[in-house]
Amino acid sequence: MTALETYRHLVRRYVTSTLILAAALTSLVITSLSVGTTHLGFKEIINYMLGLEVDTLHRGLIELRMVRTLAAALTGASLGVSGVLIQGVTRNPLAEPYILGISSTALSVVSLALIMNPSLINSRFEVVMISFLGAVLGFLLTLLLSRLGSSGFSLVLAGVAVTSISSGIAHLLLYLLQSILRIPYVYLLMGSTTSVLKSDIPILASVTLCGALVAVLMSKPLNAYVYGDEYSKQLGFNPRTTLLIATTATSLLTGSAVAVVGIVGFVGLAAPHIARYLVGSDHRFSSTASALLGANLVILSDIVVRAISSVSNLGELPLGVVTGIIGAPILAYLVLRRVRE
Amino acid sequence: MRLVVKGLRVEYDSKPVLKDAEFEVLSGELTFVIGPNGSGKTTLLKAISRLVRHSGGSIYIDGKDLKLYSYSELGRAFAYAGPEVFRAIPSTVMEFLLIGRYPHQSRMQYLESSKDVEVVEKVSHELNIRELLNRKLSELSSGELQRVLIARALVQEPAVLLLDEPAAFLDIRYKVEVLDIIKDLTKSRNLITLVANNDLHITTLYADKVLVLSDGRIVAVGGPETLTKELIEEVYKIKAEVIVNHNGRNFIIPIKHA
Repeated sequence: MTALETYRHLVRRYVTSTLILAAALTSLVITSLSVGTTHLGFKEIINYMLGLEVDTLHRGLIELRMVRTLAAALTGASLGVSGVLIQGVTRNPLAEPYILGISSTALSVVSLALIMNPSLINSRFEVVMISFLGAVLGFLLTLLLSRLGSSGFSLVLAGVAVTSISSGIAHLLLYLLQSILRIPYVYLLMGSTTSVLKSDIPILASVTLCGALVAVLMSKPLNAYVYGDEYSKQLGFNPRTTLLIATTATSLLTGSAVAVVGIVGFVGLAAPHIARYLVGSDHRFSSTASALLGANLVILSDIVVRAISSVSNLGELPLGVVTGIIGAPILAYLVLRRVRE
Repeated sequence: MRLVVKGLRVEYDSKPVLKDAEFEVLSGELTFVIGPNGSGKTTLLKAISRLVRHSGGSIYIDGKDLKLYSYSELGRAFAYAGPEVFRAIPSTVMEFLLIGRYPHQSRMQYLESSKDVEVVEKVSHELNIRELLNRKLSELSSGELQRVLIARALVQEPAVLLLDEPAAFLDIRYKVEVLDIIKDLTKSRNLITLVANNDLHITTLYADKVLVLSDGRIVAVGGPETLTKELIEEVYKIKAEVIVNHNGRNFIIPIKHA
């Protein structure tokens, strides 16, 4: 195959994958709007989307479900982009916001802030900013701890340690906070879209869009960065700037997802790997594909959550349980493959 | 084109590793940089390509100080191929080669031009790696990887090509093949090529010019006849012998430790 054919093949694969992922996302959104204790027909939802007459009661229901569906999609996209960025700048395919302790530390810091000042709960924007700072702190802790080792695994092990400690702390703090939050704290520890408000969506959407834009603009620097600092430098990109911008974006994306939906693990691991399998590792292609995949994965998980609760009558499972069941085997597979190498 | 290096000094943690290096090389010249481990070969190549900061001295291309070059101009002027590349994030040879075109693209350019892809095509043909384009970097043999690393530097279409041990892991057949290619390209594209190398025999065979480093200092510069038994014995601290003198080039082999 010539270089031109190879290149055309890369671009074509990206376009096809994007179209398929977008189509999948659309059908998952429609399914998500229809699934729940009261099942709504697809026809009704399509009518709603086209702005046609819909039963008022059903309209209210669709609007409620729309909020959680959008929250799920945006969280998934955020985590998908975070995953690509953090894997790139750590040059480690096992990296993920949850595994590296970023999510749990963000949640601990948010809970601490809420204990000190419970009125913060009314300002979601401030909570997002605090969560962002927590995310930065978590990443720094993991980096500091991983300095003690040198293999690709030491970063992951350090992350697991930070995750364990800060999950414990978050557990304790959220337990104390239950009376203020008025939602079961497992929902924050393992993610849930039930507590998302309509007013949260613009915050989540703007952070997700900014993060995705940064990822797209940083594609070339990241492509050079993953091969080593020498490659960055001679192609005209400062590797430190790349590291700084990408980790800031990751922390912001993860922080906002944690502040609004809670911890949803393994999406940031699963989405980039599936994305690379589909479109290759060029960040121009993999970051947007990973965003779409993340959105698909989290909406799908949210549908599963609601489908289970509609038959079990035991209340909703946390979202993170489902994404964990999907994502953790991917981690296991990657670790096994790496050990064998 | 003429590359002039004047009084170049590099320090790592205020310890000098390159001391007042001075030399000139011309386009179309294949220069070998030799010297014992730790004598500063890699540092010299990296300082020229601006990968490490120099604490003193200047580098000029055709009289223009490199300080006046922008980042993308530097990217078009110099390409360095070292022995290392991170391969943990899976990517293909094609994706790796494409990054070499970035210095030729404008900041806002998102996709490659057809010229960019043609360059990749041409280089992969020259280095005989067309079959590897769709392979994963992590799946290549060390011989294949070395050709890919050189190809990436050539895709940058530099005026100055800096190769750090480009044939280290190759058997003699591939060594000769790769160095034939490097020599041909240096002539046909009129490149200034500097090769850091530890193989005296290969150096004698291919060098137009030899630059001998010892303890961070250039101790000899000149044609291949510069390599004498005495120089090699002194720099490498060995006993050596000239086995053949062919066309004024001394083929020297080590006999024993001094």
